[in-house]
Amino acid sequence: MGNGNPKLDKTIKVDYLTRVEGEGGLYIRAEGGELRDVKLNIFEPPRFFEAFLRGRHFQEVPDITARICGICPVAYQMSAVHALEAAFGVRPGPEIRMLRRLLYCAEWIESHALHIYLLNAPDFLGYESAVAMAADYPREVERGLRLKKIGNALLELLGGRATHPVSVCVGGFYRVPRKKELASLRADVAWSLEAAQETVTLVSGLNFPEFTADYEFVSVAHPAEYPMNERRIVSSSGLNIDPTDFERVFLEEHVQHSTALHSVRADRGSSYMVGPLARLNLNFDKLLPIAQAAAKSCGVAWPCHNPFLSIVARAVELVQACEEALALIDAYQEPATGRVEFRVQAGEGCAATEAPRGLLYHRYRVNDQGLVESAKIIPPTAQNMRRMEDDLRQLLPGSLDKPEEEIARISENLVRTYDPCISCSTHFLKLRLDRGR
Amino acid sequence: MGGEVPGGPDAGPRERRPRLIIAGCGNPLAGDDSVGLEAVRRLRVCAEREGKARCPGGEGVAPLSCNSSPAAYDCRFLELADGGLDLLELFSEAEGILFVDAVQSGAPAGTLHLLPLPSREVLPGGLCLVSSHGWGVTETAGLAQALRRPVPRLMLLGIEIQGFTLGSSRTPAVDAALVTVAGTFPQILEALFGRTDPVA
Repeated sequence: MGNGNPKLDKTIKVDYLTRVEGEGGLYIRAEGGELRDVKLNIFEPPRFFEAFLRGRHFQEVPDITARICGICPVAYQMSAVHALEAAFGVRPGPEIRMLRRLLYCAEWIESHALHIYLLNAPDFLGYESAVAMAADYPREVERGLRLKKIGNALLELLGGRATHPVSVCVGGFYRVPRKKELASLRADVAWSLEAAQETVTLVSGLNFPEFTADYEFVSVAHPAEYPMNERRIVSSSGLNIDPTDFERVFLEEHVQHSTALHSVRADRGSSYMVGPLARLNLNFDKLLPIAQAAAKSCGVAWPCHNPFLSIVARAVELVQACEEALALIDAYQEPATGRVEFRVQAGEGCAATEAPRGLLYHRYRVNDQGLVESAKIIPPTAQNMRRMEDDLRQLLPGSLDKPEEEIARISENLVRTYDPCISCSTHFLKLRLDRGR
Repeated sequence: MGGEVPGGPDAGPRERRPRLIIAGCGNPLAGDDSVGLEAVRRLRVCAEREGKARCPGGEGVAPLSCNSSPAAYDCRFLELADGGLDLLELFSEAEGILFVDAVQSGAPAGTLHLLPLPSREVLPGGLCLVSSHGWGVTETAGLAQALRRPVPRLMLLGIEIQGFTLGSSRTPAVDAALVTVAGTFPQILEALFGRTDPVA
């Protein structure tokens, strides 16, 4: 029960979160000036991809899972093909491996540029939207739009089309680009590398709320590369596991207020964070030279525990993706064949890759006809869902005396730093703040 | 962005600047929500035929006078898979864009609505219902204006629907409206360009 003081008892509802992908709301209840409840209400209907993958031929899986998200379809394709290749014991050659990294770079470029410039920067510059921001920052917004366009162009060349690409298959690619086709994009990608460094300068100069939390950061890790498609899964609390152990270590839970499952550590039920901040904190030494120089000179002490600075981590990763894309284009040699042959056999495989917004886990069991018997897909936003609620529980107590609009703004800002993709998780935000009156 | 409808009269060199883009929106698997896509397909068929045979009509496509059909215009037909920022690229490619989409306003199913965009009658982000971070035609037009980019004349041809249950077929009233869509073209051109004659 509240104490009857309307200033201390609040219910705040954000019925529809803006500048996030998908549909969800936020419910906050405070009584007597104390925070009682925080819920991210995910009301986007469940999408049942895992169910309707059953019985489908394995080569349909990359095309079907690409449809889960229009922003990060490559991530779904990459986790799918790596998991299925693990099931069949397929190991594509180095050229295919490099092309897949290039395809992933393209997606990181378009997704990170979109989030930094159009979705998240307005929060820190004091605008309600990118449209309002564009009037005062036209040069910056145009830069973001061009970066996104270049990422899309690269995606279109490698994937056949920018949205829901169609060239990826188990074993490799249906079509690989000609060297001269890739070369035609080199100048644009070189410009992107410059623009990405300017992006780091821009976002590292923003004013960020003072807030830190005791996070467990989780990401894919590779001994020699910044993580994308391989290999192990590590965390800031010392976890270092093979992807086959993912479901033993992490647990998905259903909560009544969300059509997206919540992921926690199975042993202690605690939340964790995936995404650019987690990746950068755990893999700083794997950044390419220009990206690492940008990360060192931007004024942020890494590892960083302020989620609002995810935009800086995202910008550093934009540099990383552009730098690596440029190197891959320069080194590209057309492979003799776009895909490796393999024998279909019954088996089970899993993989974790790094979507722009965090670790994406897939597991498939296929029969000897190559038909999917079971599928498991754990998207990054679902993994971050509990962590976002935990952040809000820690962040909001100091703000409950503020007007409801301000509480809603602070909450949405925090959620947006995660770049949640509710369409993937199942889709995200309306705010309901219940002050108990 | 969506897929180009194959085989339309837009086939040819891409450097040609289309004067008119007709873009269908909707979900082909969601009953009445597919009506925008189907309307654009029919307009494309009509234009294709008219280009060869002086507007024969038929197959549910109303006959058109030749000066007021899509065939008489430098026209691209698109099916939009999503809205979002990528619409911005379309803005530089046309002098007029007609979006054809399912709408719900409470009017009888099958009612046609012709509205300029942005419009207070169309909720921001409401067109092209597939979410792409909430970006729709209204937001894209606002962004283009803020960036001092050209904004083409934008119209919505909304077709009132009854419902959009996944896996269902279109309702008869909405199907009946499809037959009348092509007949609205003179009105659409008048609204977009202030004339029905394609000669500039």
